[in-house]
Amino acid sequence: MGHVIDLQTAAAPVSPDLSGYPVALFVAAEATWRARMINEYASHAVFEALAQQMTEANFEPELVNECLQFASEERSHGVMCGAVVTALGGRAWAERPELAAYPAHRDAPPRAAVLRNLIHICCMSETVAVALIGAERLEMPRNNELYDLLTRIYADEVGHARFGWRVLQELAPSLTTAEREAIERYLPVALAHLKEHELAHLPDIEAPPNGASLGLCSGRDARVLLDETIATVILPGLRRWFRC
Amino acid sequence: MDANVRRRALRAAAKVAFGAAFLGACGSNANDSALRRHPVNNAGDSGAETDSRAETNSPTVPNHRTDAGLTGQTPIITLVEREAPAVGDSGLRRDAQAASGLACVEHVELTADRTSSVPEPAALSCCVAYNDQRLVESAVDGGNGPASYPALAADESFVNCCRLIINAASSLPETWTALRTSCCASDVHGFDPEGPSPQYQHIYCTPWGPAVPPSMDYVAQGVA
Repeated sequence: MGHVIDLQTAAAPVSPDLSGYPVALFVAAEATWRARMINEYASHAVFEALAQQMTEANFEPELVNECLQFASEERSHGVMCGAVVTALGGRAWAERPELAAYPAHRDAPPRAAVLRNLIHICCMSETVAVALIGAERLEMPRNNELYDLLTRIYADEVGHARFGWRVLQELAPSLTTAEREAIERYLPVALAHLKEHELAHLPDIEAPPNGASLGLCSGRDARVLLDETIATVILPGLRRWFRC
Repeated sequence: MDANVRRRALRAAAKVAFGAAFLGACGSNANDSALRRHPVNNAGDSGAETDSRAETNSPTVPNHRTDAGLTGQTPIITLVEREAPAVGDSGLRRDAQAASGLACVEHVELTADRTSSVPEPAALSCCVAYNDQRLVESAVDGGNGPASYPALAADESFVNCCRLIINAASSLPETWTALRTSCCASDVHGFDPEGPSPQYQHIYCTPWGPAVPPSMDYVAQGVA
């Protein structure tokens, strides 16, 4: 696929019916869903890298396979978002973004290195996604194809987040002091990056009238929800095992 | 987003984070595969979060749409081949003018089915050129400053060309640059029946897909 993400063929047959939606919002909606298409599709590489790292650190093959399944789900989320772009009159096509290098965390023991990334990906990013996409879904009118599509994505995000917390629950009690300290050193870094990354994708603007019907949410409200998710879910969740 | 929505969204996230601990304490990890099949049921409270994983496993979405018209490439506007007089005192000459007096094309409607909205190349190039020139002409401070967006918004031809460019942008990606520079960036929204408003062109919330985790160097780079 080279330097582009071309999902036109896959997206066209599954584009939801958006007849009756406010046409005045279509340009904003197309741009928004295109950005989501890019973010979702590109993020399959994150889970593939996590799976590779888990393999190298001798994690159970079942866990690795789950991670690879998540990568596949992110690809299909890209297709779903591309389907919305198509339904809005656009083309499910974009330049492929340049991703940062996946960190190996050589300064940490292998198992802690994996957990660092797992915490950032699943316990932080995907947990925030559960809250934000969940709120968007709650605000969206039901009984239509766009709602069904968002529900499918939301369900997968729940699975991705739960995976992280579950693996952490299983492994945290057996961490060595060196492993635990390596993770604790990383948590402020991960949190700072999470906040910066999320804010970059949550513009400080209100939603347009009827925007919720097309998934156009208030960035201001989403920022509040982001802070609340970090303060009341992520940090308390991590503090069961780590100082942070 | 009202407080109730936020509270329910937070509760779903909390169930994801703390549900794992609860299950682990009960020795139920062996059932995680079953849990994975129904994460939404388990994540949410009653009501909104009652969908089953079973119906979300498929990567495809049922398509109930009738695709009539989607594949057509019928131009929806026509170029009026008529030499136009100079435009006011701007010095700009239109290459073509519609019978309505608009530059380049007759009135264009923003259409939802923009895949089929391939404009005539001459109309598109006329509009791109027209808008580019108007951006330059409207610039304040002797042409060195930013464009005067109120002046552009009052220019019906400029706004009409924006609509044509917006329609074309979906089928002709190369016109995105023109769209962004002449229509989006200028805060001019010919497609907004309520009048100019930035809310119709923003990209909204897109925090989807986990980012690549940072390395420890991220702190050393001064971001905190």
